[in-house]
Amino acid sequence: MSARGSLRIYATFTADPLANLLRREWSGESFEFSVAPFNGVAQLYDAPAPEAGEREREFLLVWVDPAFVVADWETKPIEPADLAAFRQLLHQQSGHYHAIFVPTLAPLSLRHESLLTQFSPKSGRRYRIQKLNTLLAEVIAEMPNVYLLDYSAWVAGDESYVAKTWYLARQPFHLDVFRRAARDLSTALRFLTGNVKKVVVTDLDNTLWGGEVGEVGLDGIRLGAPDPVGEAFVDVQHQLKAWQEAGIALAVCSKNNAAAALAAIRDHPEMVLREDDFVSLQINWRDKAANIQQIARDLNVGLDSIIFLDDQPAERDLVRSLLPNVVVPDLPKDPCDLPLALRSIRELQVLDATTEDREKTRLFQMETQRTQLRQSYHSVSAWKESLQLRVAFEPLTETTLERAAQLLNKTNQMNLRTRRMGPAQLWKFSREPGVEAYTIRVTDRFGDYGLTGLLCVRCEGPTCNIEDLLLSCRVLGRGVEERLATFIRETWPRSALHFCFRATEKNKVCETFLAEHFAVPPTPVDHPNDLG
Amino acid sequence: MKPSHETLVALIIHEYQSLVEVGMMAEPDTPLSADTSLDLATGAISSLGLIQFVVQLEKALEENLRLRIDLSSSQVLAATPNPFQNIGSLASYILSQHP
Repeated sequence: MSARGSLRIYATFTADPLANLLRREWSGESFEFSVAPFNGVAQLYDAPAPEAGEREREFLLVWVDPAFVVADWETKPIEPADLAAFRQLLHQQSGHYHAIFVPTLAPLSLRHESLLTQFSPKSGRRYRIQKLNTLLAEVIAEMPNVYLLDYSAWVAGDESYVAKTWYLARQPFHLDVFRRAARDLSTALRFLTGNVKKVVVTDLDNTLWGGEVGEVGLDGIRLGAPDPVGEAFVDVQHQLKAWQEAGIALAVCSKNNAAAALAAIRDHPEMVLREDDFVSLQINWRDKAANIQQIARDLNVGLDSIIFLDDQPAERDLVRSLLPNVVVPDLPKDPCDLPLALRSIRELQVLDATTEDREKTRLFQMETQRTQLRQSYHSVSAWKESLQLRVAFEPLTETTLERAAQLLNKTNQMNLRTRRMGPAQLWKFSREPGVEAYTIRVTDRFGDYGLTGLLCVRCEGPTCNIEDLLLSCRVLGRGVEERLATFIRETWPRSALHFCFRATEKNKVCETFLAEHFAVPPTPVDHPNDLG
Repeated sequence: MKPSHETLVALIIHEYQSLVEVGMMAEPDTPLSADTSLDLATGAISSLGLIQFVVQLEKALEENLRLRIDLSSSQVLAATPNPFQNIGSLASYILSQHP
């Protein structure tokens, strides 16, 4: 079996412990981690691009000492031009890799730093490092698939450095530094390889507010100052609100008196989250696993895209055992520790909102309305008819590029070959001779689903290779697939169509689509399907 | 008070195991004991793994048993018999340096 992906590490020090930790965390998964020879980072200036078939899943980590970027950074003022060579290196490699990670710069050797003048613009080392990192952030901002990671989050003062391993083996760090780096890299890699969370389902009593609203009523719950516990719950709600603004849909799953709970949500003066902030409110006495399944069905999302928050260990255990794909983080007993615990949920630390993300709540609320409408129809075809579906195929533009790349990297089910590309790679590919790239926008009587699909075709003579074909799962099963098939047939009516299908564990939906609409039989992995 | 050979073996095993857990030492085929080899020539331990192990062990000896010892000096590496033959021989060497 070929690897799902790989991370190649280039560093100006011995970075083998990091690769070892990552291998351990990813054991059993087909992801490879390798370290370039010691101090081999300079080789990146001349490194050949990875094989074309590999680069879609290849990642690069470039972890360097500041002297690699600006040799005399300690002795002369730093100017933007000093970063030109490193910028060129990153720019060149950004076209070769799906994504590149660069930890912020920090000196690997400990030298004297005056307590009083370390931030002096004249001679302070800290000032210079800060300036270098600011300039580096500006350079990296030009490259959408290069990410600057915060090295300072991995170190904890001088204890993070071990002089003896540095002198013996050019390994400067305590293993805890590598542990924290491995944790952040794993989180980023999982996100960038399609493991994306979409919904946070939360309990109410002692999770969003203190106390049991069914017992103490609206006025008795602990929410807001001057009660310190009440303040903590306000911060919990602010955290959930921040996730929502970054594209996560919020839903409630609570064993509770519905009238009392809704009264608190609607009328409590300190509530940060209101009824409109939730895409689904399951407030009843059913078991929570059943309610979470209902939410997944209503929103048309997989259970593996859900995170469940509950203060009760027994409820968490139940959901973990019945719905193992749902992420259920442990939460602290003390409510004052809750905001920090939520902030530490790794799966949600990588969120970065596009415009479409910020509208997710509205989109999910429309989806719930559609599901409810569907239940009122006796036949699926009558329901589809009632939706008044409109599907627009538009050439990919720089305006739609970011969202299209996001879809390419998130979509797993209806995805022809689960090829991952950053915006820069996608744009470069779409400009290649013979390539036509279309975005797919869907609307119906309830509103705009937004940009929900991508189709990339490369035509060479009488042959058209369908290279990428993907639809967001939230538009499946309502007639969009039929419109897509018709568009392909009508746009390239005289061409021999070749579908570059690659089977994965998750894209059975796409295989079925090809079989139903183009009579393409299932084929082995990595072999394009031919359709004359 | 001078630690016993068993105490030192237990401490060395603990440090070895902590490096197994972070992937710096290979998972041993048999439970760690005084007979577990520390010889680079067996291929079970990388040179970087051994360095990490030595540095970590020096720190643990000082913190837990107040024993200060430099296990990475050329004298130790050239000593006969080889202190790094196995965990038991390393414990014996450490004891011999603290009469």
